Amino acid sequence: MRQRGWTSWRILRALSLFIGYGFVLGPVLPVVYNAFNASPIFPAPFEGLTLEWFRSVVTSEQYMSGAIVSIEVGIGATALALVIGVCAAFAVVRGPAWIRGGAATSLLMGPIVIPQIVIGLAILEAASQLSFRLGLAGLIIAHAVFVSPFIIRVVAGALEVQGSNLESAAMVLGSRRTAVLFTLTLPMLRPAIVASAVFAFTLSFVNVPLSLFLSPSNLRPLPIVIYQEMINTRTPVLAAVSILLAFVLLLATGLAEKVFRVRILQ
Amino acid sequence: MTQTAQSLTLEDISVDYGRGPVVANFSVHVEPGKILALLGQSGCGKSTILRVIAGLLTPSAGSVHFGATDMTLRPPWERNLGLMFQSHALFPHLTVLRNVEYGLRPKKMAKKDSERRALEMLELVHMTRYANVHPTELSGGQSQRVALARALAPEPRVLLLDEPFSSLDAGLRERMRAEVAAIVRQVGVTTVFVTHDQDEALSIADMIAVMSAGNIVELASPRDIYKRPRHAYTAAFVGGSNLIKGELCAANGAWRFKAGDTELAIREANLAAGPAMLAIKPEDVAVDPPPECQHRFRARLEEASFHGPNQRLVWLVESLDGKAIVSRTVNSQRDFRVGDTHEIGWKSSDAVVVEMDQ
Amino acid sequence: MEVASSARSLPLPLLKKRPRSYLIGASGLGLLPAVLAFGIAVLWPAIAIFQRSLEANPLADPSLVHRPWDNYAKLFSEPLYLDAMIRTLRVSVICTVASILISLAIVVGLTAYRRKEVSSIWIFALIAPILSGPIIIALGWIGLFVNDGIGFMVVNAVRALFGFPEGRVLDTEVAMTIGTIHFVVPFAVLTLYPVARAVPRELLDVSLTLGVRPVATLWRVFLPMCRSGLIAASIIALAMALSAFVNAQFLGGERNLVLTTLVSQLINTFNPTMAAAASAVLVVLGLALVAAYGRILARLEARRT
Repeated sequence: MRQRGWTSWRILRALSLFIGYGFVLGPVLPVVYNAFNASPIFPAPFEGLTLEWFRSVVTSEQYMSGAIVSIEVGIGATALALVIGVCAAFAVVRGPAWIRGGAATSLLMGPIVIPQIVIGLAILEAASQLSFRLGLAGLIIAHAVFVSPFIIRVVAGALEVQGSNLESAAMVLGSRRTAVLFTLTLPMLRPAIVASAVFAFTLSFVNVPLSLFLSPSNLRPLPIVIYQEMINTRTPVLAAVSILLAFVLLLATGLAEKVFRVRILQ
Repeated sequence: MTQTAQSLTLEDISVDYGRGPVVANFSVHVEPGKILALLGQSGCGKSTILRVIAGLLTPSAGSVHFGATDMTLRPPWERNLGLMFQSHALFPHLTVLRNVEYGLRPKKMAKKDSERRALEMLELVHMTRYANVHPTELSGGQSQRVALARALAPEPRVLLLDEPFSSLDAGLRERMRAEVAAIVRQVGVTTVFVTHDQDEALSIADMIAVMSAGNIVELASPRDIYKRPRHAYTAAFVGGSNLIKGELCAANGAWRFKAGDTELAIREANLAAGPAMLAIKPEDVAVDPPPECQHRFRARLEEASFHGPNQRLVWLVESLDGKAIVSRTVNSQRDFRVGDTHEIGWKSSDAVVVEMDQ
Repeated sequence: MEVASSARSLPLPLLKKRPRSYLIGASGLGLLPAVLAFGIAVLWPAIAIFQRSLEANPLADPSLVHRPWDNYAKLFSEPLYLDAMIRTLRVSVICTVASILISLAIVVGLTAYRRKEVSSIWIFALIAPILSGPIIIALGWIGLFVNDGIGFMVVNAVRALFGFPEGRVLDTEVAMTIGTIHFVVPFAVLTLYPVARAVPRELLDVSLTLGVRPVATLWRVFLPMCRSGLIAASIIALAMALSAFVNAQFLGGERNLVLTTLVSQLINTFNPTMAAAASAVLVVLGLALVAAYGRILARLEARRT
């Protein structure tokens, strides 16, 4: 049986979801369609199916070396951001009041408010003051600082929910603080840590504006390679490589959810 | 306050989310202006029934009538209801006055009239002083009063209360219970309320529906539910009766109850002869009973606990196959020692034959 | 009884320190790595870039006298730069408003009057653009906005509706604004969604039983309950819109510069000192706008209670 009277709400909901999701997912369509389109121009009317563009991505040396740089930067940045983020999460949740108030907010908002392109340029300037040659290190630290707020947010949330009763119980039972930390607190935070780490890696992997000024020509992450290609030419190969990138990352996120049994989204 | 109270009829209501019925073939009728309590443990489907009456849930089968009007498929906003939740669900962004006035806006009342009506309602619940306060600043009892005023302001045809007192402290709960019952009776609105607390149901309701597993086990007045239950479930759930398994026999126009080797004379029974249970309230069990107690047993004290005004004693009765019988007696000077043997017993009129659970 | 009296005879320990929490992390020292990293990667670079912004362009004629604030004076006087700053403000404000409206529509559609949790596929679809990066999205909008693309037709239909002439869409401020809204929406949704999901269903139920229809209930109960989420989401949206880069670069073209793309172009044209000055302005603008915005909202909040 269906209740009467909900029609206006149903129409409103359908409309807002259709428009909202249409807007969010709409731009994906031309990319997908052109990546398989035989025409060598982007964008172009349909001329036939082809996998040629994907083949040229996989065999392209600059895309592949870009991917390797991206993986290196992503892993380094995620590891560093985990150290920063997990430690900070403890301070943000359990530290003195001044940290829980002001310091925590500026920590979380800071890297979001300051434009990434400025952070990249600024790090370059700072390094040049010391005549320091930035290699991978510059990329890694810039990415780490940028993604750490996401880790802090997720881990602090989990820590807040988890509370401290179990830890108190363990300490009453005679465990030392370090033992409690490594055998109880951190293992219990594992889902949050894994989820935020996967998210952080992905954010680092696709980032353009942070890396733009920090990538010497021999050390260009994949998105920068694509970006610079895109400035010069617009070909279906670009569509193919960005689809491949998105597909691999979304697949990895999904796999991580399955393997580690965590919910990365939400 | 004048309003024409309406009767409420539920017929064959079933609710099924696809994983077996939550409520199956539930029927009940409430006379105009009466208070019905749905009493049961959590998960028995009592809140589901309330949602069906409110129109927040459409049943998979059955019908809901207010008076003679079929309401089954009407949305909640066309039902003219008052609903009060355990959380009180006051709108935190509105003042107390605006909360109470909220349900008057759809009635296209003039602003002046609706405000006057809201103030009247606040007066009824003694909350006029708090008219311009936000709900976050109210105590539990105060927000309950406001929630009641809000529910009653649009002169609802049916008032629904979902565990209204559970969120209050024990002392306050009893006071609010009396107060709310008085107001509801004064207004004279047909009321259904859901509770797991037997005291609450016994003290407020005109009728109690004891529920289990999505259906009514027993529907009767509070007095009968307590004193003359018909089902073992009711006897155990309300008042925590002792239940003795046995068989009801009729011999020469007199009823007898056989439990093992013991045979007891029974005053009356509404059941056919056959397997049944005998229910006795703990407070009816006397230790070293006076002569008018016809059912008497030798029993050994197994457990004794002190509960302020009274004490709870658990006895093992050998002649009932070692059955444990609980007694609750007013604390006297007397101290019972675990292991002692005494005689216990009760009047045959206090022993009720009840139907066994399926 | 005896327990109590014997306890009294024990000597009281002298407490010199304030009581300390035994909890792991209570000292707040965990903030140290974060502070260190922010110092190295944000604070010090910010100072460095500010210093650089006061210097003369190394490629400029050395015979010209350079005063420290010359770069800023130029930034606020030359039409190219001034234009970029005004456009930045305009685009950011439009993006904030539009992305709040769109994300509100999505969030209300997903959460209002629902008893069950929304399937995570729906959320995943919203985050997918963030997870797949800005490049694919920019490429997608290019595909939609080229002449005779779907986006081109939609924008021109709207233009016709308001009596504007038809024209190209790609490499205009319109395209850039739409692209930036798209970049901002997922972040706004992620901020708003938890708040909307936490609105107690009972409040909506009560409103419905009091005779208020679903759409009116949304307006009178659901939206007011989402207030804090809307505030947070609009601050995030403003900050993200100010710092949007990739979409602005590829959709706005060379002539419609905002501050981020201006910085990039100045670097590419070997003018690092002007780039530094523009960066500094962008940072100050962002901090000031977010602070002012927070102040205004706090005042609104105070007036209400």
